[in-house]
Amino acid sequence: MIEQVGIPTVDVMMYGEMAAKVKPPRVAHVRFPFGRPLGEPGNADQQRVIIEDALRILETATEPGTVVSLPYRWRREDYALIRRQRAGRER
Amino acid sequence: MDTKDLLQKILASPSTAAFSKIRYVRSQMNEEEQAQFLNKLYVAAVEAREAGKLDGIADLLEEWEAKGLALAGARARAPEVGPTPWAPLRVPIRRAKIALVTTGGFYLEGQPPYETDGPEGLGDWSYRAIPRDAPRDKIKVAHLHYDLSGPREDINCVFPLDRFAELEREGVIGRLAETNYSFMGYIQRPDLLMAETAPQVARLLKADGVDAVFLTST
Repeated sequence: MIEQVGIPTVDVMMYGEMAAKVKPPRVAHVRFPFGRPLGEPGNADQQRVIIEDALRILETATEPGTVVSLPYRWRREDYALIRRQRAGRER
Repeated sequence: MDTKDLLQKILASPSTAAFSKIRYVRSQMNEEEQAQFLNKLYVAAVEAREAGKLDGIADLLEEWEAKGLALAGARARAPEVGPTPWAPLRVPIRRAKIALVTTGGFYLEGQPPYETDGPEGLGDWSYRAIPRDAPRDKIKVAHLHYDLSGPREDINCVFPLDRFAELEREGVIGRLAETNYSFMGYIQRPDLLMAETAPQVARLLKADGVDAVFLTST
């Protein structure tokens, strides 16, 4: 609907099966177990990594129905480290 | 207490939201399948204790989650999925005005809450407009079908208003839209969402000059 009025979208989804059924234009698929698609409460680093990955998909996807499965572990990933590495690369 | 009653109690209680992904074992499967699930879970627990690792339990839960989801998916009325629509991004992210849209069930104190199950248990397809600077303690959440403890503690788990305000301050995005939208999304009637409320929100976003939308699905 939103895409149909000319606004590009990206959808962060936890259920791969729904992504396959509904086929949104761009999907960031996360394998987190509970209802927290962007990560844990208070974990701003985790939330930022997921959000930034999804924004990257918004920017770079070229095919309708693009689904990118993000590789991160739910709790044991060091998201602060990932952010530092990214900041380092951008200099 | 028979198996069905026991499962009803375990899987329906909000305090056992850990089971939220296998809730469809309760709602989609018959008593024989439910008993089979409990038996397999028991066996997997014993094996886990003996082997000293939990992979068997995790695998079993994933397997039953997938089974339940497949049944729920097959029985839900599928939307008319034509070719996937596509709008190219016309403005670089760093200059884009981005709005957040979620199915997470948020509403402002003072707005009517959602019918979390609605008639026939099919949910509620209305939406709420959430201003970016709404006081966070005035943003409520109502949704029976996912664990709400995360967004109640930190809205950004699902509806990242604060994270996007930061992204704006840092120049990663152009702007967070003044008005963002929440639905209370429950997958049983996506056809109604498509026919009624989603087009309204799409028109509002267009009128607001939004360049892109960041969606989170629960």
